[in-house]
Amino acid sequence: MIHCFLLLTLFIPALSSIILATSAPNEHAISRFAQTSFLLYLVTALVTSAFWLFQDSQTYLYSITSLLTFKLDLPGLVYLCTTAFITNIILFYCRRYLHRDPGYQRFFMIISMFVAGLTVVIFAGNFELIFAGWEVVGLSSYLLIGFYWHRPQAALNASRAYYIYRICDLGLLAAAFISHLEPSFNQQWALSLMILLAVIGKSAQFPVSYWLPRAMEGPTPSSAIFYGALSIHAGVFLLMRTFDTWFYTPGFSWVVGSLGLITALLATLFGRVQANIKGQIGYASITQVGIMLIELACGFPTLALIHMTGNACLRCFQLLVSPSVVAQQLQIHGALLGERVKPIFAIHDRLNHRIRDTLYLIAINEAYLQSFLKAFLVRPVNALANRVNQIERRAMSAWVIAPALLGSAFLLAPLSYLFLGLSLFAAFTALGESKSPFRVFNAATLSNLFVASAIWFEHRDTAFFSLLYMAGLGVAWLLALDALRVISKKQVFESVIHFSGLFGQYPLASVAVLVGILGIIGFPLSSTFWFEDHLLEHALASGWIFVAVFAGVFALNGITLIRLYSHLFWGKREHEPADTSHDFSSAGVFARIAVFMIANGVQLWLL
Amino acid sequence: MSFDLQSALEHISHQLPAQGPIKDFIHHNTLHAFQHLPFHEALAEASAFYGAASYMPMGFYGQSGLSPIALAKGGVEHRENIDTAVAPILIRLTSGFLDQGIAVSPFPEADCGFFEALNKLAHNSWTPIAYYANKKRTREWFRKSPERVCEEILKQLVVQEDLYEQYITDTLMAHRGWAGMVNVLEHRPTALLVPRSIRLVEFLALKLILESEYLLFSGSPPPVPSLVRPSQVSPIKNIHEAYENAYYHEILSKFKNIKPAQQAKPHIQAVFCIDDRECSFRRHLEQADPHIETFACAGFFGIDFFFQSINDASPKKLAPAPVQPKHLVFERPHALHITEFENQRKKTQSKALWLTSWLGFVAKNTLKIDVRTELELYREDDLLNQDTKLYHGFTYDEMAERVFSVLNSMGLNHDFAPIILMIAHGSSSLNNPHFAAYDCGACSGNPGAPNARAFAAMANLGPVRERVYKLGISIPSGTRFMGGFHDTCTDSIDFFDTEDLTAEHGTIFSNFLNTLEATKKLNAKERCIRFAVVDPDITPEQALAEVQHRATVLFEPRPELGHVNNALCIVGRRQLTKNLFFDRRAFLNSYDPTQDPTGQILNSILNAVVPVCGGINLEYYFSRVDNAVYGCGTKLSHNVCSLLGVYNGIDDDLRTGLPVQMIEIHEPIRLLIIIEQTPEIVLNVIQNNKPIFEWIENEWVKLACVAPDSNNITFYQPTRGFVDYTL
Repeated sequence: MIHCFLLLTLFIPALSSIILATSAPNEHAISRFAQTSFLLYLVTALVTSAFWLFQDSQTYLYSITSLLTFKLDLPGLVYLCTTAFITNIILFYCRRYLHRDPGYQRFFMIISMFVAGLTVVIFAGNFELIFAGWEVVGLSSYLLIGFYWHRPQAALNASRAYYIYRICDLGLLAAAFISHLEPSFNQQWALSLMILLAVIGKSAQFPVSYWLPRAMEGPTPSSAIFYGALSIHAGVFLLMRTFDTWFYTPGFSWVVGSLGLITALLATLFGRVQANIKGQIGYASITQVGIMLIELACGFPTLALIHMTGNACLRCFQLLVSPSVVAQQLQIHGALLGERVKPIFAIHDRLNHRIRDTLYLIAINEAYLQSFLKAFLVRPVNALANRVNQIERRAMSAWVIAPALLGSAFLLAPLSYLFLGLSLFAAFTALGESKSPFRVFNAATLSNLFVASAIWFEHRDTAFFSLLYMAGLGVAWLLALDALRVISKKQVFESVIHFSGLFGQYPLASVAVLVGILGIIGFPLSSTFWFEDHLLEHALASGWIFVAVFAGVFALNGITLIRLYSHLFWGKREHEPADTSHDFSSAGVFARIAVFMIANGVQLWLL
Repeated sequence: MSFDLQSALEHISHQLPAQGPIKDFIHHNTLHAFQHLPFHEALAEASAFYGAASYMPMGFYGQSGLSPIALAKGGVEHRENIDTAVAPILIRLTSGFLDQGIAVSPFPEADCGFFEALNKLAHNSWTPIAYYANKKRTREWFRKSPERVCEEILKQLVVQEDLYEQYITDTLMAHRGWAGMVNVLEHRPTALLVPRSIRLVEFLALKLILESEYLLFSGSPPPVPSLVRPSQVSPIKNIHEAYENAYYHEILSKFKNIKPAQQAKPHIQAVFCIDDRECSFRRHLEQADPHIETFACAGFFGIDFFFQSINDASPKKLAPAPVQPKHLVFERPHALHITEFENQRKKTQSKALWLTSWLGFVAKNTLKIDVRTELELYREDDLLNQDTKLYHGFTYDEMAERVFSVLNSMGLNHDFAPIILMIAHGSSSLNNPHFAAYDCGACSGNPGAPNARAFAAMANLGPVRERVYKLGISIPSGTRFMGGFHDTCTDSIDFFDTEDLTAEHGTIFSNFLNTLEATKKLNAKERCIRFAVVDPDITPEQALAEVQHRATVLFEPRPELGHVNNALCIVGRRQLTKNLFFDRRAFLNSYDPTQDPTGQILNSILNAVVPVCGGINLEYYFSRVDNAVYGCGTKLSHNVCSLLGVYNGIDDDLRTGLPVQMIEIHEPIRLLIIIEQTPEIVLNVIQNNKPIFEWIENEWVKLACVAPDSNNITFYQPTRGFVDYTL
């Protein structure tokens, strides 16, 4: 019985998201449908929790297969009920709030997708499922930051958030495989560190906190549900879910605690100088998450759970009412006859001038963290990518690739390393490409192919997987390329590093391109995700170099292709109502994606 | 020719948005800098300058084909990259300095001027002002005067001296929302609640310092000043004019054979604001009871003053934007309610102290002191208050002068009813930073309630009536004035000082209140037609509930639709317009042409009507034709910064103009002013009033006359004057 409700809770948001994506009736029908299905979701969530409470309130595992393993525990169910409750509020709020917005349907669809992903995270009984949900949450976050796609700043901030997600998600991907290793001190530490990496990205902890306030680009309720309420606390939830893993790793709670402390201190500092209301609430939320980390590190998961629920509701509400701040401050100003409210910890008055002014400048510069990461991480990688891309352009890819393929067929094993090299080479080529989107796609797809080949050559028995994976890649590549080809009929691609804003003219083709991209980068809904999973398992057996390259290519391709998508489709305004006559028909795009899905299904079935 | 920074900045500052802090949003002509040019030429110039559209796309006018796309600023990528790179620190320093109560830590050195504060900050701090800035070099810069900094950096970055101005224009236009705000605050520091001293040249100096530091850091060459692009009038101009003319024709033809409406002997005379939203309310009121006569004049009712209520810490300006009032009036608790007031004050103060930023949302509506009050209107002496440099209150002469001129200008100087209501308006809404844009335009974006209340109180005073009588109007002793306040969002009307009514007045008034109930519902029903989510067949009761609901929910971005219908302004007697349906599109101003042979009254009416109504109309026009450039985009993603304005994200430029939700169903038509007067008198008036003439001659508003007796219609054409309008 409880299983039945658990599965219902899992399926309702996913199903509602799919239905919302495929049908486009009027606003009334969209909001009515979403509200009904999420009311149902709330009911099933409550019923599931009630069952769990009245059975024995013990952590409970439910396995369908080794992959599909679900877990019910207190943090999960509390988080689930919070999610259901806040989602209902947000949907109720948005019914009127988004009236006449051109992205009405898109908004409800993405929110449903987000909740679907979060529900998977909440119920996940293993790292593979957590990772799947985690990716869905990340993608929906990206899509909602870029909701007003024609604004370049929104497109930039959305991309930035996604890059950070992608790199930090590596933590979960790695954790999934480390968790299958023999337990040892090193394994424990590695696993804990990888979990923490994932937490840092999603919950905007030190040193990448800066992405979260900048993500307040979408409609206010989307900022509220993501960066006030639910998404930001996913990291805390992950730490609760894996509490037994990291808390008992000797010395690791010190790492978590100090990270929380540093974040809390810095975010307080940054938040206090924010003269805009949403940035202030964003940093306040990050501060609280930092404190939750400290609570967890001290061994008080229940306290952290209460703290998390309270903070989620408070920040959600604060963001929803944030436009009132003008009227509200005027009233406070009037009631106090013009005196300024003294903040509770008004230390700045008592500080030495030099310290105070230094702290102020550090705070408005967000401790120079972003420029630091840019200088030492982003810039070298970009420089390398540009260099590689130039070499590749000069050397004519065919000359490198063809002999390598032929040679490897004969020499096999040692050549797996050559393939690893080629894979990195291709991934960097894709990142460094500035002109043709086709070349980006080809190079990125190739780099994935090379990784698969490398692992194939290392483990001859993985041929079946590798081939299936390549087939999956191929289908995704075809889907994206076909859409690009349609666009290129009317549009000359001059650059993939400037914003072209094609979403207005090609809304449906852009969906096809996005689905293709998601297929290539191994998004949970596509077959490539599950194969990637298997491949990494083998990579792990082949030594750390394989894992490192695999992870690097995984992160690089994700970044490259999402950047490509942002640049091609977002970031430019139009004066005119866009001419969509050259776009796919909805039937066309539906058929294409359906074929893609069926192909994926067949592959999974073969698996 | 040597470069003069002062005059260059002076020149550029005109092209910056003139919108002040959002708490007093005042509608104005978005392109006021171009107003010296004829309308279409100005639009073409502005289009080239800002890269904006001037008209709607072809499809809007029912035409096929692609409209010529306004040239986006091309070839300035390098400039854009630099601006994007330096924007965060520039905006955080500026918004932090100007912050009016959002940030928890105040700007550390805010008690001096902006540049001096930066100087202290840079000198005290151990870390540089931005990651790309050299600490030592920036300290050197900040030590100098901002003017010198600008000149020296320009010398370094720009080769030719004649390109300096263009370079400054480029660099300021990248942040024109902030630059405009700084410029407004430089000239109007009183617009701030928390006083700050800032000048445009200081903002420019900071921008140039950051810019030059960034260029040195990144090793890139300075950006080339952009070329002034030639302007060209868009071919859509003619289509647009045809679209406007079709509407003008429809309206003017209504006046062709109109018969003056008759007015039964009034029991109640109600004076409203000229606002287009009162247009339907008056019609419903008159139709409900023929013994109600309505008038309209600009909603500050001739009482131009600063006003401080018991709930305010500082005075608000309650007068049209161009008027600079000389009087200040305080609200005080009524003599019988002083202890109650003291108690409530203590309570609200302790509440406000505890409701710090994180619990602040509770503050809404719990911090208002609600006791019976009165206005400190009367001033005996003739002394200017030395602290405020204002007269605290009015003398009887000043009161009488104001009462007389308002009554006289409306032609309300004979046949007085027993009760005369002065009904001001404002709009209530929740979760809406643009709340002031819905309030009264003639009161600088504030609710006009104090003006109505003050007018009624003045007109009821014996000594004032005596003086008004001497000026030429005899108000019967049985006539009583009363102030009221119409909430245009919820369609509720409250009245002030109803305690003072006598029994005889009481019956008339309670009958009137019944009529008012029905009127509110009918008016709400008429308004609901424009809301797409509302079923067009709802009953008037449901309609009233709907509009009241809109004002009280957090998630309603369209509490009401504001001036969305505006297109017309009619200055004349009510008998001319009483039987006509204007679909809430007309500003109506009462004016009796028969009593104004010299045009003197008309002149004073036009002085208020043209800038206020024309400003509203053009703000809607420009926000509609290119919302991305002239408007502030969708409300849904707005973030409030420093309590001064809204922007997107956390490091963006301030967005000025109107949000999409206010203008999306607006039909961009220039205001047609119809005056009931002979063309000769009107021509004489406008030709002798230079500022008003500029509006008309350059066609920023259109002008037509309906002759008082013959109903002969004439239409003003630039250089030709009034010509007969053939229907």
